Amino acid sequence: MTTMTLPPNAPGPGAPGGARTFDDLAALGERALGVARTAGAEWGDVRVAIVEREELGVRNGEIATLEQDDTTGFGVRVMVDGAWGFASGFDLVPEEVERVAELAVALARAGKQAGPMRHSWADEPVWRDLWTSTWIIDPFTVPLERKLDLLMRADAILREKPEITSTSCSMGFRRETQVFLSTAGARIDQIVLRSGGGISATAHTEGETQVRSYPAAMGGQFLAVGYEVIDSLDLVGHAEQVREEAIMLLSAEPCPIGEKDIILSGDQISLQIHESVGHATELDRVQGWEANFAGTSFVDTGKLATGFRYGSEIVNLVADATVPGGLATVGYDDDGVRSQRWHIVQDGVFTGYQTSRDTAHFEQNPRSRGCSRAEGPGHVPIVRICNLSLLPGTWNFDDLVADTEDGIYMERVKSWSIDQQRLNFQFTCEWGREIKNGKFGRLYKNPTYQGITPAFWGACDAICDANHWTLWGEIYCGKGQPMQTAEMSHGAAPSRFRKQAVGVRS
Amino acid sequence: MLSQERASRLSEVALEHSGADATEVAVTACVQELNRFTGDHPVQNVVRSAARLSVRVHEGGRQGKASTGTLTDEAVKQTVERARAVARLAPAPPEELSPMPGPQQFRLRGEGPLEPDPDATARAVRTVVDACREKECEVAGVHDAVSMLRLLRNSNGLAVCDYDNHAEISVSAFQRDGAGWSGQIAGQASGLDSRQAAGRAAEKALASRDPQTIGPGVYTVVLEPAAVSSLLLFAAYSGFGAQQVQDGSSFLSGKLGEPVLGSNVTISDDVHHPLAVGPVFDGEGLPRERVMLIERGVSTGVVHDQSTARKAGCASTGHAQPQPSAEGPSAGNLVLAPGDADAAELLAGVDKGILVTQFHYTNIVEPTRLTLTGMTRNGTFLIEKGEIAQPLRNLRFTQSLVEALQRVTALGRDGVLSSALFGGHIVVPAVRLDGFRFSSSTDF
Repeated sequence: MTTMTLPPNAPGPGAPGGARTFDDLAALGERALGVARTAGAEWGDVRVAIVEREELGVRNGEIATLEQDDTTGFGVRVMVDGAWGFASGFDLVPEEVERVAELAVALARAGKQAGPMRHSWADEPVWRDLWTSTWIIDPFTVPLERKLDLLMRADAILREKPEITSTSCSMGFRRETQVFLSTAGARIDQIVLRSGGGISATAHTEGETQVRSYPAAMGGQFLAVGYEVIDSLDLVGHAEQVREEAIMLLSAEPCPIGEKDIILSGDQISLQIHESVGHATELDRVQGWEANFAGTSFVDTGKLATGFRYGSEIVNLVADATVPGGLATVGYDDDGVRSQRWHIVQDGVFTGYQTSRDTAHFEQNPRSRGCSRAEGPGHVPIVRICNLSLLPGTWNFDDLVADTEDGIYMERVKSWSIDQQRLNFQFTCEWGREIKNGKFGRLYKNPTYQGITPAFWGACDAICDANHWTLWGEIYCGKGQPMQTAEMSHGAAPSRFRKQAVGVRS
Repeated sequence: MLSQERASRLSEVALEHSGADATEVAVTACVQELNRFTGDHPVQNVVRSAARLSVRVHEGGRQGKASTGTLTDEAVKQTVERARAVARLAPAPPEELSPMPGPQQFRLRGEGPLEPDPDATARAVRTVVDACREKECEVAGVHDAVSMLRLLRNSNGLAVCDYDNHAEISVSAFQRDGAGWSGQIAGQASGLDSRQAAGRAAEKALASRDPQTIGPGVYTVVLEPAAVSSLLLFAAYSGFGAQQVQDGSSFLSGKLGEPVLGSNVTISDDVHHPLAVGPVFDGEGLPRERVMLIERGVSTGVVHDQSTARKAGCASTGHAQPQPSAEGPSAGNLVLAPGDADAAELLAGVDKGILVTQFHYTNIVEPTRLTLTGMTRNGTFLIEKGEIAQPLRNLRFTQSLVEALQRVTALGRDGVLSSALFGGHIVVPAVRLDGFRFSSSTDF
């Protein structure tokens, strides 16, 4: 395992230190651990990584993004006398690694002046392993011409009608190759590849602008797989429908204001899960570590002991860092904790948080759930949402629509906002369809719903079955200071929520 | 931090190695020292150091770009080769590429890099914690100092390099059901008054205990600068850029020269404002010019990059993103001109209204009217007969910013550099306006 050659785009022989193998990266990391040990640190870890990235985007027939990037870097974290210090650098040379490690130690020692607390650190077996995500087609080996041709063809179809004033067709690929080492003796070599893409069209007429996306908003669908996800999406084949639906929305009626049953698409529910369950059950957030920025959470630790009812009895939300293709699927998190699967909500009852090694003790758990991740080696790990999915139910989608007397079907998010305790949310979607007496009716633009988290999930009375269930990717989750982005997936099938507030007066 | 000399030398390597028709090299590097604290201790104590070099080439009428975080001569040369390979594979653009500009005159900030000072930062954090503890408040916050080096050179002779630095203290204080916030942004950490920020946050937390519920509806509001900035930032993201104007999605589309906001509203983009932070040149290497966007309510301009300027038949204003860019030019240094009201005068004109300290998680519902939604946070108060009457539980607003800024009745006399959840830096005063719609409420 330790002699495995790094990906082809990794720094060549001219790179600092001539890093070519996991062992080369590990040798640099050991320099940092040496500094930590000498300083008497109770804990020290280092991540040395190479991140390859490729972004391609076409806008209005022109290449808007065509970029290849590689980044090398390392981050050193130490706990000295109960206080944390973290420092990062980018030059992969031994003396720089040692200098940065010494800075991390200095930060920890200085931090003791600011406050007295000793941080806790949950136990974990000392792992030595190689883990890699799986893919069929390495996207970095697919010729650029093929990728650009696909985007250009989709874009040309989107622009075939004059009502379309702006288009976006894009795909992106990111591969992280990382070595994690700790003073406890852990060594984890890990490769994670994420791929995806999507298309969107913006239609405009006097005083009205509408957007339609496929297969999801905000850049499309992403999975921890290879280029095969792009092939499976058939972006070109869906371009005409996206174009026509964007134009249809220009003449659609406004979303009515009132109380309706709503059926949300799986991709919309994925964002609902993310905002109203995912962030709400990050235990660092519950403890106030985000209180000055993204906020806190209504899901205080007392709710764990009392069996707080988060949703109706059919609501089961499972965190799973092992699910194939999930964007948060890894072998080990950035604390060196092996991936796990557990319920956040079981039969509607709140049953557990998402934790790291320094927050696990707040839920009286001797072991972390393995949710500590950093954007890259230059950032400190923080608690991030795992792959978090709503388990499928029993309904067929057509039967669900037929069973709904007075409702609105909504899909694909357009605008989202939720309060600092993750209670009051308001989402606007791209596409709404009236449901009257079990049949689809008028088309609504800007369909909006607003609710309070436990009441909303409590009103869920029907979830479609596994045939309608998709694992949706989120690639722009921002959290922390300095702001870090992270990726995760949320699986969901279309589901119904009774008597929700829809429409909004502005 | 990557030194200016090393950045310059690496850019020289790239330019010398490239045989493309035109070549641009951009180097960015940053050092960030950040201490994030909760309760009585830091939860993050971090110094980040990062650097990146990107190469953009024009070759045979096509464009390619590649970047690297491996800053060796060999890696830089490989990056040049990758950029050229991308350009050769790229399809010909429907319109001629914007040229890489030649030498320019710049008004540089002329600052040097900030050096991390963990002891001084820890002392500042301790000051905040102690000040809040004196008021028996829980506290959470961040002390942040960032130093950015930006270098841009191209084969047409343009060469510019500058540092831009800023520091921030942001404090949230809590006591029971009361919450308060205060923050400061300055050019460097020595310009921050941590004790003052902590004191203000604690005072607001104490004043906001035992909040009462008020129903959704339309109210006169007094928005403190942090609340104003979280609204106005969306005009920067989706309104004042020429690309949105040209594709019809901006509230300014087709309205240049027309009154669009209240006659007491004047907005410019001005990177050289005494309080402004950020780079003085844009992603194409052009100087960022001051642009009057709204003058006494009338739309007088938008910000351009070379591409949108060509379509509009004017010159770039120096607001390009790094090229190529899907987003188009962006107004990154908005300044809302102050008025003449002090804090008491802003309240004095309100018979019944709401004072808002901060908005949280603001987002666009509809772009052409800039309809926004978000939540109040960290200190929301009922105003009655010109005075603060009682604290309120938080409310969600859903409101067109364009219409709101048509109903401004007073502006504070002091502009403050302020930010928001999604970033950005804007110089804004407090604002009083009528007819602001709150659409739902909370129990906290």
